[in-house]
Amino acid sequence: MHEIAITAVGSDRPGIVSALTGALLRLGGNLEDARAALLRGSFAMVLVVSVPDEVGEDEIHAALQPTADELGLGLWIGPAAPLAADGDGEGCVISVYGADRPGIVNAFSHALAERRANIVDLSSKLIGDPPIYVLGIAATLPAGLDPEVLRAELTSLAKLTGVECSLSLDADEVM
Amino acid sequence: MVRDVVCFPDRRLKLAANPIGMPGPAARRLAEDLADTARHYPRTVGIAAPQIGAMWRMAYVDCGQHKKVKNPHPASWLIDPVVVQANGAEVGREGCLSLPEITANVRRATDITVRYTDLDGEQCEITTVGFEARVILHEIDHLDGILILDRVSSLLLDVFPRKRRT
Repeated sequence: MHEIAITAVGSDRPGIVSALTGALLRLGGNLEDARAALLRGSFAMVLVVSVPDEVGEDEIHAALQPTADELGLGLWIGPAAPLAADGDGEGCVISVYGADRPGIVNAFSHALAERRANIVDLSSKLIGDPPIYVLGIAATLPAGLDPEVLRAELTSLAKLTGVECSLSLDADEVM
Repeated sequence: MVRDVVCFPDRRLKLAANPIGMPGPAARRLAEDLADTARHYPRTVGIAAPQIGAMWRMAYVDCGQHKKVKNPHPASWLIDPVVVQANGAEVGREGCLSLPEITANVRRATDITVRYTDLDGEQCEITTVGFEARVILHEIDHLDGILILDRVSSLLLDVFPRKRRT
């Protein structure tokens, strides 16, 4: 078996997940990881699927493209990157909320990139009326970065950008 | 004796454990195994009998070394524990020996009183707050076949992968 990454994006309608996963199942595929979400009116799906060695990208494309055409989906198929270890640093979740304005994601992602913190999950949404912009980031910190230093930097950034920000470290105790 | 930890999807973790009543030699052996197993795994603050495959209502809690607990109770074995009072609510991150790949945000009471039997068969009560209360409630959940995945508001937003080590 080998792993293939697939993305599909298009106007939302019932049956997209069923159609795509059905085609993959008929190829002998098994979903290893999947995320799908409705982003305003667009439904976006990202999959990593393991398929038998004899099934290549061309076979997957041939199996999925008719379904994608029928449903009006943009499709991308390519090799999946190997699973990497996260290193020795700590994991954390950063929550940001405030009045919407351009540049919030860029400001916080830039601050994390400067510290070599690796974003492993990100989602944002406008909620409520008047709208509040809500951003959640899961990140892995590099070994040697004191989380309190990053917390202080992000707190300063939040003040500058007029939003609220909190950082919580992954729980390390078990019970 | 250090015992193997049962991990989900082992179905024993989803079953309610049996009452012990008056503890005898077998319960004391189980108590030793719980403490030995907890001490064997780093940063373990509590463990429940079903997590080592023993379907009895006993949990071991030791927050003595934990920085989140200012005045911890001594390490304790809780037999047939019952929550008699619970107040407050707070969301906090929990890790579970039986779900080693994830952590999850779980809403729990912040101050609790729990009635239990100790290893000498005496009826006792413990009143505690904050993280120690969270640990005890987590362990009592194990005795009822409840995991942190049953407690999250959203499997999507409240469950986080633990870091993978090489």
